[in-house]
Amino acid sequence: MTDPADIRPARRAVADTLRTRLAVSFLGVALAAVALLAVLTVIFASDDVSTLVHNQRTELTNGIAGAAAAGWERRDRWAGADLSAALDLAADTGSEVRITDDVGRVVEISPGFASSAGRPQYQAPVFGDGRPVGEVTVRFTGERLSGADSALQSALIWAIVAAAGVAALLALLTGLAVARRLTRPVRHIISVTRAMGAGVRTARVGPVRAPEELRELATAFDQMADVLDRQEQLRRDLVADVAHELRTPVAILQAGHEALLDGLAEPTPAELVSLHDEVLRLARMVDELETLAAADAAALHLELRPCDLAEVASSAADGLASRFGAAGVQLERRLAPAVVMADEQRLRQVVTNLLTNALKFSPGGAPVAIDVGPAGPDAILRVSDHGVGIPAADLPRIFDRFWRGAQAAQTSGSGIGLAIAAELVRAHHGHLSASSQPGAGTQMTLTLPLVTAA
Amino acid sequence: MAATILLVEDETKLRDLLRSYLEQAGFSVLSTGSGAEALSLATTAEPDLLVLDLGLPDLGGETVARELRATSSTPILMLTARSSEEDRVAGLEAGADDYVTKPFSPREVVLRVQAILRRGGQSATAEPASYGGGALLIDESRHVATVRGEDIDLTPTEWGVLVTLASVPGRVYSRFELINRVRGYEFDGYERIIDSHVKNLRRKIEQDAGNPEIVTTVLGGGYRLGLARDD
Repeated sequence: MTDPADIRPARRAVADTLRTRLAVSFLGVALAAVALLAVLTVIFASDDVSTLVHNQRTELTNGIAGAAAAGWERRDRWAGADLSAALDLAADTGSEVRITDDVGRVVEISPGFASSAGRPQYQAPVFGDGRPVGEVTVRFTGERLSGADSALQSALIWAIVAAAGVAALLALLTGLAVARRLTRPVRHIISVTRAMGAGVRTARVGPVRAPEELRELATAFDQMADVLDRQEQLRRDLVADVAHELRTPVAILQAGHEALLDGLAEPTPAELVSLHDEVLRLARMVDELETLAAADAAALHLELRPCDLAEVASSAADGLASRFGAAGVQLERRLAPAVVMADEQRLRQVVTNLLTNALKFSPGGAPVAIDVGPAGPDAILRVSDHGVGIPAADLPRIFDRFWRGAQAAQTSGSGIGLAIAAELVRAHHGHLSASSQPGAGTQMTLTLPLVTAA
Repeated sequence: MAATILLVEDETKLRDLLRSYLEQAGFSVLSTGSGAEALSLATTAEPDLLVLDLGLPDLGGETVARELRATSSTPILMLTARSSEEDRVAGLEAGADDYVTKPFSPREVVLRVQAILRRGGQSATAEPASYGGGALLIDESRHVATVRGEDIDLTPTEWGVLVTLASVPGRVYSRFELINRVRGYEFDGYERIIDSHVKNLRRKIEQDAGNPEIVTTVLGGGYRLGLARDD
């Protein structure tokens, strides 16, 4: 025997639970999102910073070119022009400058220009009196502008790292909270399942606050538990019924034999026949139990096909014609076609049972009628007899297993036929009902859904 | 004066059999298969005890017992086809003094009836039963067996075997039946074990255990009491 606790997987260092999985997934997604954001931010931001720097440098270069043009314009030529403003502007912004005339001769150059080759270099034409008179070349060496982008980038990275930390924390907390909400109903269902397994037949999950799938799981579980419970109840009822029904013939046999042994009764043929009858009753009961078990199994494996209820009724009536003839009971048939979904063989078994019952309770001469026809959405089969009838108080019980009417004591049978018939009809999604007037007769009505010509 | 028993049982064969047993035990018996009739008979005939089937077709035995209890204190022995604990309790609550579950040995019903009446102060046979011209005396009320004037010390099983055999002298009891009666239905073993008890019993009560006269063997059948009952 396995203890339920043994079924659980061995606990690992970090348990592989829904909780940890969810928390880890949330964490992973959050970190991935932050990382992606960081990469994109760095890429786009560095672009932006470069553009900014480039614009500033272009502007500065243009400014220096403007200052050089102003120096040129005061003399209308480069020779003797005062270019200090341009040089100062370059020096102030940490850059080196070279000014050339319109044919490329150097007219002015800052001292560090030559040594700053390789630095970012910008050029702008110098306009004097509306025509190009030369060109300035600026090389940026100082940190004052080129450092701006790296400072900006490191600030961004710090912001991203901080954001990643906060996001991770939030993801972890959210993951745990969601896991908690998900696992609580799951744990509840597990505990109810264990209880059912341990034999608590009334254990049910009941309504749960959970996502739809888990609610469906809970509902499905409860429905399954109900079905199992019903089957278990049916089984118990059957066993109890059987034990109950076996007791009477066994009690008669025991008492009867003891009376013979004790010499209280003589083993006369009459006495022996009476005891033998009880043995036959037991034997029949055993037979019918097998039939009942087979009917239960058959009800689970019906082969439903469209078939005409009238034909089934007709073939069942044909099969019993000789018995009706022998009993001198006339069987009237009024059969109109009515197509139903049915397992023909099982359905014939039901009709045969109804007809046999009608015959059994019909005194000689009183006719039995079988009617078949459509009625609204249903197909109806009715067997009517003019026999002794069934007292109103007994009507609800006639479909019970082993039930036999008080007046049936003299007839054969253990009262299982109608129970089987009702069971088979239920399996056909139909129902069997009875109405009766004591002394006037009984009508057994079989109702099945009609197959509409599609 | 013989005590009157009202027997209420709807199964005709069972009723007739019980009736013979009760009459043979010296009771005068009224019988019916209907609960309603039982109630009217109970008031008109004033029986000393009711043997009442729980599963009657008209009024349930429980209802009969309850209605009867409302007006009288006539003892009731319930016959029930239901053996579950709740049903027994329900039967006893309805006013039954004792119950026997079906299937039963009719003799057990007679013994229970006698026991209830004895409890109720009715005179019962105080005399020990005597067999074989006084060679064997069995006093069930005192639980004593006397063989040739000497009280014999018996184990419960030996006592049970002797009393069972003596209940109908001359009748053959199979080993299976003896086991059932002595040990109850829950016994589920080798029925030949009864032989060793019989052997011990013979050693205690027979003059010659190799040639028994009181507990005799029936080949292929079982055992029976070899002595006739003295009247």
